[in-house]
Amino acid sequence: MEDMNLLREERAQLFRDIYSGKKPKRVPVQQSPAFEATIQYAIDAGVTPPGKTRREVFWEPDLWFDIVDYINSQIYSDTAIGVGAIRLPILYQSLGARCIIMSESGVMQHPEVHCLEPEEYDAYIADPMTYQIEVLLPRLYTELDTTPGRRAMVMAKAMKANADHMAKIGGMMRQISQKYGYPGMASGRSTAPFDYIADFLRGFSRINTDMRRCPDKLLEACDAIIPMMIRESLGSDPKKLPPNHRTFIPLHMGSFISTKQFERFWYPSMKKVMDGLVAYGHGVDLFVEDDWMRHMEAMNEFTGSIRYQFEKGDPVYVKKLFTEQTPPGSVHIITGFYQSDMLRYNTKEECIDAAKKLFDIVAADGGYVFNFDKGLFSLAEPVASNLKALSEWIRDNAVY
Amino acid sequence: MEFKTKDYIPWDEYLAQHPEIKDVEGAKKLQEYEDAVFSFMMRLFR
Repeated sequence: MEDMNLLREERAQLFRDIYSGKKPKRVPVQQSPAFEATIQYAIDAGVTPPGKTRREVFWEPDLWFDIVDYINSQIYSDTAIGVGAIRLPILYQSLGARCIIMSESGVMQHPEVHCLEPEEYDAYIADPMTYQIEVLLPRLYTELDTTPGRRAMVMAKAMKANADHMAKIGGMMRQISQKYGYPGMASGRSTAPFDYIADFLRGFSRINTDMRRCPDKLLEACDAIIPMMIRESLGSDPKKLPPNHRTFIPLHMGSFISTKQFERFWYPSMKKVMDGLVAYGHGVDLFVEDDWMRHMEAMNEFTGSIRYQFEKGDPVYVKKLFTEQTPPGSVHIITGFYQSDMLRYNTKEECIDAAKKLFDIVAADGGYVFNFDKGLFSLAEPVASNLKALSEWIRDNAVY
Repeated sequence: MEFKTKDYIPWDEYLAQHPEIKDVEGAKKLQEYEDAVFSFMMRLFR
């Protein structure tokens, strides 16, 4: 147990150093495979009861400890490998969701949907939260399109199911962290205002139309939800949050819009959200999905302790930008850039060589946390064996 | 920038309407549930 406490403290120090701009003892390793991949990995290894499919396992949280325990016993990481950004089927099924649906193979998917019409922008802007709850919710969730009494019962059922499953996950992850010596990570969630409106409210195709047909309304809507975006992560009393609280934000629309559209529609409201999220000294972890290189000068203006996980792009350019132009007093950390496809098509040695080349660029003087370009979606061989070898090599050799 | 909506009741506003619990320290727990439901509602739109 004492060894685990020492290990936990060593790992916690790695992240404290990274997030405060100091060179850590070694490159921290963070693994975040999708829960779909973790479940299948455990099924294939015979960890789950015979005959259980991934689709079924998603509904049975009593099976999850063994699954999560198995992956943590096999793959090295400096942070707990958990359920990822899980979408609970029990929640979305009980609400009759149109926006998140489980496929037959047990993958939670997001079809293109919308629930806000362009002529409703004014009403939405006047009180976004109320409009979402009173008007838009039943359009996305069919079980809520009913009488007020039944709607309250459906919502209570969904909230209870969600809370029970989340409590189970919380207890499980505490046990896993204790067993493997992982540090505690406090985190919240938020979204860029433009992405929030694009994802479920207007949909991918309609938001593009709105930028041309009703740009001012769209901008007003982005501004109107800034306080909601901050409140979601920091709650009502940010001063009471632990100092290591960090907000995770996956970024969606930037790679699909031009620089001009980005500067006008995406960035201004997001900058205000970012300023709000770091106002009490907490950090932000951005998942920069796809390729945002043409927007990076603006993205580098975010202040505070900001970690960027890159899926695609030019690591040489980003490292130079962060080294030379990060705002004074701020810390910008790189993670990602390692292509997960490497594990599927290459030998262990080639995977390690790719890490060496990447580390020479991004990790030479600290400021880098190892993770992949995105959450691994399959651990089918040779991925698991390559992942194991690569992670252990980084732990033992990427030392400053 | 203030967060203002009729579907989220901050503790100070709630307490002003319910003086009967103003001396009960543990009653502030209600705010945590208000926040939890708020986060839940936000999550349903992302």
